[in-house]
This record gives sequence, C-alpha cells and structure tokens, in this order.
Amino acid sequence: MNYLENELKYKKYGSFEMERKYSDEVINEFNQILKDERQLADDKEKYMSKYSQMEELLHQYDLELEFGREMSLNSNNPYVESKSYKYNEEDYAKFINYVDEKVKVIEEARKDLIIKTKKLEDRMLLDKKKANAKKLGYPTSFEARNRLGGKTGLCHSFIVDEDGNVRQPIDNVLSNRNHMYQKDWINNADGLQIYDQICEGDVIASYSKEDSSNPYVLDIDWTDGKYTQVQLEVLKKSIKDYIENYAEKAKNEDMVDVNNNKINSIEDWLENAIKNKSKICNEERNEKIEKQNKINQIEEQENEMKKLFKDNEEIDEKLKEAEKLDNEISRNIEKENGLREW
Amino acid sequence: MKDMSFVQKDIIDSIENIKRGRKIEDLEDKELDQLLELYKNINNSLSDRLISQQEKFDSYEYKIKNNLKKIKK
Repeated sequence: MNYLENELKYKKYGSFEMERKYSDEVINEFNQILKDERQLADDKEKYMSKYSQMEELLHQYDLELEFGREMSLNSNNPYVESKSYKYNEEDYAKFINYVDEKVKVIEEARKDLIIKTKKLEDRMLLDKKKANAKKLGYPTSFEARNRLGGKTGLCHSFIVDEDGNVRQPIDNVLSNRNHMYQKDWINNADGLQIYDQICEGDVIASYSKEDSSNPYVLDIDWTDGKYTQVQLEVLKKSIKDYIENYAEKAKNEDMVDVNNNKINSIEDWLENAIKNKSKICNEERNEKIEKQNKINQIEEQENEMKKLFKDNEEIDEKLKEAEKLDNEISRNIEKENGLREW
Repeated sequence: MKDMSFVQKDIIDSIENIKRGRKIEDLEDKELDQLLELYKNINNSLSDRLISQQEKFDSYEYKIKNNLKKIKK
C-alpha cells in the first residue's frame, strides 16, 4: 500500500499532477479501497480483542476452577461450587466459533482487497506511463490493420509492453460484422484493431493468413526499437502459439514478411524487424515532437502578444493622463507668469 | 489607441489568413513556421512601441516633476 498511500498524499495536498494523471474514477476507487482496508483492519482488531478478552476470562475461570477443586478436596465449600458453575464451556465454545468465523470472513475479504489493490496499482502505473509517453510524443492512439482475413483467414495484432504484458485493443473494427471471430480479440478476422496511448518500449506485432493458399504474413506495426528479453520471448511465443494452434498447414516456410520475403526463423526476423521498423516510427515521433514544440512556441508567443497588448494599453492610458496633467500644469505656470508680469 | 486598433486588425487578418478557421494542430508545418514568424514580428513591434511609449511617459514625468518644483518655489 506504500505506493498508493504516497499517491493519496499527492491528492490530499491538492497536487495538480495527481488530478491530471488519474481519472476521478481511479481516485474514487482508490479512496474506496483505502476506506475498506481501514474498515477491515478495525473489524479484525475488534474481534481479535474480544477473542483475547475471552482467552483472559477463560484463564481466570481455569484458575478459579483449579482453586475450587483444591478447596473442594479440603472442604465442602458451597461458594467454590457456585463460582465454578459460572464457567459455561458450551457457551464459550460457541463464542470462539463465532469469532473464528468472523475472522475468517475478514481474512477472505482482505485477500480480495489485496487483489483489487494490486489491479488498481497496475492501472495507476499504466496511467502514469501513458501520461509520460504522451509528453514524449508517443502515439496517443494506434490503428493496427489486419491484412485481409477473408473467409478462411485469421489475423491478429497485439501490443506487448516492456514487462511482457499483452494489452488488449480498445476496439475491434471488423470489416465483416458477421464473422465468427468478431468477439474474440485474439482470433480476429480482417479489419482494424485500435489501441490507446502507446508507451515507451511497447511493440505492436501482427500476423495474418491471407487465405488458405497464401503464406502467413508477419509484421511489426509499431516499435521505438527498445525491447526487453521478456518481451521478445512473449512475442515469439504468441506468434508460434498462434501458428501452431490455428494454422492448418503452417510451417516455417509458409511465413513471409510484408515485402514478401521468406521468414526462416521467427527469432531472427523479430529482432531485425523491431530494429528496422523503429527507424520509421522514431522519425514519425520526432516529427510529431517537432510539431508540438512549434505549437508550444506559438502559444508562448501568443500569450506574450496578449501581455504586450495589455502593457501597451496601460502605458497609453498613463501617457494620456501625464499629457493632461502636463498641459494643466503648463497652463497654470503660464497664468502665474502672466500675473507676475502684470 | 487608434494605432493599437489598427495593429490589432492587421494581426487578426494575418493570423486568420494562415489559420483559415482550422485548429492550430491541423496546420501544416510550413504554416506553423509562418505563424510563429508572424507572432515574433508582431511581438517585436509591440515591444518597440512599448519602449517608445514608456520613454515618452518618462519625459512627461520628468517635465511634470520639474514644473511642480517651480510652482512650489
């Protein structure tokens, strides 16, 4: 919870960064989780304290019982007898069961909360990564086009982040709405897959089989050239799994790249394709950054212009007043001089 | 103030000629360069004008102070 708690501090102190990076939905969910967490901790403490109170009580009764037994051995003391009867073992067992059940429920809820927190933490980290990527000029959305699935075709594009996590597209726009794979983003037919903000180190790969007689076409749709070993492994595995599971007669020799060059090894192709494609992608990104810089400069100049207009207006007003005052004073001096001469 | 209105109209016309109702993000690279150059020129003139007006004001201020001293004497 440390990370989340730190983030809460930002929110608490009204940080602009927090407001900008995370949606209200995320912040509300986060606050709710913290609230639930506190509630569970309180509940557990409450029941555990009852539990220990009871333990204490039991210990007391045990001592008294022991004492009573000792006394009974020595004399037939009725007081000892009646005191011993106060301890009802059956009621106590019921109570212990009740507390145990409650603690069990709380523990289950706590586990659930930990999972929820982890999910939210991941979402917040992704939000943060996306905000940073946006600043660095990475595409804010990306359309990966699957090449002609056709009747027998299957195609799929997918995004793998630097940690090897596979992100789903935010939308599948299929050219054939009646296609059997419409709801399955992995076994997609021909059409578009739309991804939101691309982050640093993300790779979008795609593969498709144009029809039963044509080979598989492998392509890297987007990459900035940075990749990790884990990511590479996930990409290789996904391509291999897909071909093994869905291609009827797929063999390595059935695979080509977008320029129709034969692919002999997915491993070699993948690394080269990432490097080659990154040149194009980085050029596009640099152009975008350059454009954004120009826009920023224009906006700065525009603001400067507004300020200069205002300053000019103010100085004009001041000048007008000074001119008026000067005329008045000059007239008075002239008048005074005239009087003196007279 | 007449001068200012003239400058403003001139600026609005030039900027509008480039933008033609489009958002700044939709302008082409070349058009962005033109717009930036235009703003820089406008700001230079406005800045020069501000300095010259400030100088005029300073000289009035000096004159007024001197005249006030004369009156007091």
